Amino acid sequence: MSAAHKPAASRRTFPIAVVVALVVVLPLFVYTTRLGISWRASSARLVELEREAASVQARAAVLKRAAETLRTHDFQVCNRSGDALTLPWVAAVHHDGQSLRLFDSSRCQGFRSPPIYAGESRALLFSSTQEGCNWGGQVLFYAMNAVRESDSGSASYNLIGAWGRDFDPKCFNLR
Amino acid sequence: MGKLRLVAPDGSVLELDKERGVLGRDKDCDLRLEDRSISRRHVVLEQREGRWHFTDQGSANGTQLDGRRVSEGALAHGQELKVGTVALRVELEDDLATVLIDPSAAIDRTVVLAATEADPPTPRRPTPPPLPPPAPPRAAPAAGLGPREDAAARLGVAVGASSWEVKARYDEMSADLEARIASAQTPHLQRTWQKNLEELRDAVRLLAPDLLLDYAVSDLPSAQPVVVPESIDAPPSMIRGPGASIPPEPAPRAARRGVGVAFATLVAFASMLLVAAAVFFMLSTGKNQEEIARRESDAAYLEARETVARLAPVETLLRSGALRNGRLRLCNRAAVPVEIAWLGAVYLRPSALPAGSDAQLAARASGFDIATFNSAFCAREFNLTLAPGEERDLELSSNEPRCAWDGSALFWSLAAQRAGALPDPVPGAAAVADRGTVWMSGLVEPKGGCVNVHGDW
Repeated sequence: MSAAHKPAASRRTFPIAVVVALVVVLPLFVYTTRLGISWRASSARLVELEREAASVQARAAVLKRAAETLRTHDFQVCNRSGDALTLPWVAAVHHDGQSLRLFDSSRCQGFRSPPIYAGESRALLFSSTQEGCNWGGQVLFYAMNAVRESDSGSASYNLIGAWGRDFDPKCFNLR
Repeated sequence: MGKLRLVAPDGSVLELDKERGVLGRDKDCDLRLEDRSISRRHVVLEQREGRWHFTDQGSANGTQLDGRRVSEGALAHGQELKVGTVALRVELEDDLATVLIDPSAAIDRTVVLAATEADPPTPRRPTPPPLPPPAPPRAAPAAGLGPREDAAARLGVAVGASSWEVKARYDEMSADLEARIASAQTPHLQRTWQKNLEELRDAVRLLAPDLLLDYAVSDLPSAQPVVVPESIDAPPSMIRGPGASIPPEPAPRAARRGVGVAFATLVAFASMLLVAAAVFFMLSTGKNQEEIARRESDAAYLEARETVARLAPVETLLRSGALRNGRLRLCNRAAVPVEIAWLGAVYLRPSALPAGSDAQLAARASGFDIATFNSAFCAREFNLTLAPGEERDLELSSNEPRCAWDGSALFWSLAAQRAGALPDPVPGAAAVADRGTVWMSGLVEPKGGCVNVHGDW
């Protein structure tokens, strides 16, 4: 190797490194960066999915309980006693899917409960153009004053509760 | 080959007249120098391939050639060989062929002397056959000599020499000139070498026109110098004879090479890091995608989503406060006292929360435990009369669980009647039949508010 060759060799070292950097490292850097972004997005999605799954399952559990609690039934009274019953006053809470509604017979003109004779079952409902008095007989919570007429006289009972809780929701049995 | 003479600073001369000798302090050395900086067997001096070479014998203080510490090398006339601290000037009695050039002289005044007694240089390339003996020496181009003869004389080959002979000769001479040009320490010297090289090329073009077209100067092989300027006004150390060592690279060039190496190392390291990161990202992303697919198709998750979608109306009801307790507060706006004969309420019972990580969910789910308060079962505990204008928050304490009520309610209903003594009947009017019992009901607003107990009293 002559002295004239050495400078050429030393000049070549730097450009080769630069060429390698440009040809290999830069594309590799871009590729790795894109992979990193993809990895970060997938990790974030995984965390989000985990959080979403927990949230959705919690909401589903709550909504199931709420749906059970808010389920309405037909207001039907079954007279299992041996005497005739009258219901001078009835109140029922129901809902239209948006909010709770109240039917209170004391506010509705013309409401008059017919007697429910022994062994008879009767569904209650009331149609009226009066505000809050058009009731299709659905009930969520109820309150009523029942009067039992017997030979020994009459007895009044005030009742309140959530319909279907602790009894058959198809029939409110009065004994 | 001539003698080697080493001239000490004090003028004393050490002369070696055989082909190999040892210089040192030892009495058995061929050239002996009494100096403490010189080892007993300091350096070997020998002739090889027609040149004087030196080889340091591992001396303590080393050997320097023209101020540069080296362990071996070739010697040229006028160089300074320093053994230990003793500087010796090299004098060669009969060196290799030299070209004596007067830079200001015309070409026809240049004297070209081919090597006569020296061995011809060994060809560096294995392919060509051995060089034929150089052309006979020529003192100077004779007047009227043709250009081809002149070119042949300049290269030291016969006029009818083959192309490879011309090339081999040119390789030797031009490589030496290239080295000299690269290491020339004065512009004058550099111009001289350059001019000499161009003349050589002209000679080759003339003798072998197709030869110089296919290789560049940088591809020229190295060869030992054959030419030495004589009439150049330069110190002897600058005029190097055969075997002169190549001067060290300039510092900036070495530094640039160092930077290049460092940069290459950095690039390699960065590449490895990037590859490692890429592999990690690739594997992790694949794993994440699998986990995402697994979770998105999880049966419990899908069922929960379906449930939430199906029960959207229930959620609307919940958001409207359908299942949110409020405090029941009664107000008597009437002018007469009012007795609450019966009161009932439906409310959400606060339940003891089970321990566990999902306490929040348990709290929300157990918040729908519906309970009922009915004063008909609490005749002893419940006794409420509101004075005119009185307001009362309801709360009932009792050991009886169904009679313990904190006054919260979703839905309430009551039967109220006029309390106290009934007014005297108005003369002529119908007698008051009873106390005028009224039934009332309502939903408790979570924000609160007072329920006005009223009747036709």
